[in-house]
Amino acid sequence: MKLSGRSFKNFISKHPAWFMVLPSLLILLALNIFPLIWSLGVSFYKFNLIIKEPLRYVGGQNYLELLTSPEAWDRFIKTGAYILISMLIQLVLGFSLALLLAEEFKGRRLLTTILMIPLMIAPVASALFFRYLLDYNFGPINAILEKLFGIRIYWLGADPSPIFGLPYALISVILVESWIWTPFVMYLILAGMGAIPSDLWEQAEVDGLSFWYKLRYLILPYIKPMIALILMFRLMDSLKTFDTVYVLTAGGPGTTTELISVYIYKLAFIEWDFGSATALSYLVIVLVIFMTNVFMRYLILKRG
Amino acid sequence: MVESLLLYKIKKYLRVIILVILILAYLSPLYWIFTTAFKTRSEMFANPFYLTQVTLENFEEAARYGAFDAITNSVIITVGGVGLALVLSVFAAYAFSRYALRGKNILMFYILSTRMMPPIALVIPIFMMFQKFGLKGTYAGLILMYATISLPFSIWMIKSFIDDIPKDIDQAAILDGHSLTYVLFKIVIPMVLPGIVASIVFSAITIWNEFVFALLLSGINTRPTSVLLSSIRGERGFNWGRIAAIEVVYILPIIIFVFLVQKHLLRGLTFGTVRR
Repeated sequence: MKLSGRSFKNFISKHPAWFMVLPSLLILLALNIFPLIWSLGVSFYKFNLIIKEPLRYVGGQNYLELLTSPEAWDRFIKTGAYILISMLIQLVLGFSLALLLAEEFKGRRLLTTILMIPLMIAPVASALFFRYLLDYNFGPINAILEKLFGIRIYWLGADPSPIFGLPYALISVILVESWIWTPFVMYLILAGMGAIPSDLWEQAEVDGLSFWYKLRYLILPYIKPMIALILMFRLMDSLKTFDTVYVLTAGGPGTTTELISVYIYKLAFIEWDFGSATALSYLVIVLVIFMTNVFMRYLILKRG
Repeated sequence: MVESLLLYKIKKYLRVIILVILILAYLSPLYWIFTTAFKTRSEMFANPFYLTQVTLENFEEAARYGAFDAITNSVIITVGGVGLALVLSVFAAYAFSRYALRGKNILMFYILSTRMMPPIALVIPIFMMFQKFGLKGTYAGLILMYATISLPFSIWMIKSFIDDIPKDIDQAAILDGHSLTYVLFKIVIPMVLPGIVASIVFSAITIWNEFVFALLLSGINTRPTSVLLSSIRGERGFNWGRIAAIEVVYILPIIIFVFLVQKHLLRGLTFGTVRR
């Protein structure tokens, strides 16, 4: 015992680095890497907690079933529409805010700090509160609409909206997510604009260039890589959207707002079909890795 | 010349005014959360816009509803998770920064990939594991889970600060006969305090706000505020006053935090995008 104790001490003094990394490594191994490998394994089995049948290896059948199931495709298409529209809104709004905030003025720092609040408070809290704001009877948004235009809208209902006929409930989800994430886009664009050399800015001022000219030939070329990066981050995060939907609509009415993460949750913890749920998770992961690669390649090309 | 200067000034003020209006409109949901929390029930429906009569009854009702326990749970879990992650990540960050460890680049890739992973994919196996080992519904389980979630980011953040300290400083101290523990605790850690603060801030906010893991891994007695909020339903519809009161208690610390540590927040937000 004494001997092994000494050799352990010896090992530590010889390899202090490994000893310092070891606890972190173990915890990540146990609660991150091992679970992911386990769920990859499970995705090749029929594994349902309700039907008490023994684990059965089925190869790629779970994947095949998902790829041919109209239900899964429907969720993917919904998620796609949700991501496209919300990214567009966030980009346009975030970019406009960044342009307005680009130049120094009194109070700029305070305004940028205040804008951080939606990003920092819990999405659950924001979504729950938008549920009140969007409430058909008592919500202030409908109260304002009624005063101005004399209309009320079932914001959390399944009626088609003017925006590509998407149901209002999905539009509400997009609204809430955009409210949360627009400042993030704004900060990254501001950071990207910080990279524009200040003498170029000043030169543009002196030359009295028009706003559009500056935008087209000065700002856009400089922040193009940043926009690619923003799209990449927002894409990854949007595919994970869960909290807001769960609280705002719980995927309903019906399945109108059942985005892919909510669908996985439903497969796993309502139908207890772990085989399909893990298989679908891996399909999403593959999709994310593929898209990240596309963006990364573009970024690396840009950086030369 | 004078005219153009005037025009310039008008333009500038106009822009600030537009900006202020936009931002006020943008943040109006927060205004509603705070006013609703202090409104009486009758006033809520009669008058959705202003606050004329301040009452604390919503807070009393929230406390009766278990909001106090939920906030306490949130505090326990956040402090535990941040503390555990911090202790582990300081050591790991130092090792990654100072030694030629294999797999250094894998770490960065790993951090990025944890960001890509839908948490729902991770929660299924962990749910099974926790049930098997009796960790489901315990503080220990949640703290372990949250430490795991914050670990990669914390390590990388603190490492980037340690990288900025010249290696010669530690080497000189070791040549003087000081131990590695002395170097780490008396020299390196005091110098990277801003990095440590930044990683604490980020981990704390992430854990405080987290929902998916909390929903599936917490129990009735360990339920944090996010889960309490998601489960609220009144007998007839929602009692919005009570919800707003819980939300105020839940988000106010974060808002204060934002103002206290804005500098660190900005660094963390653009982290990995600007800095390479």
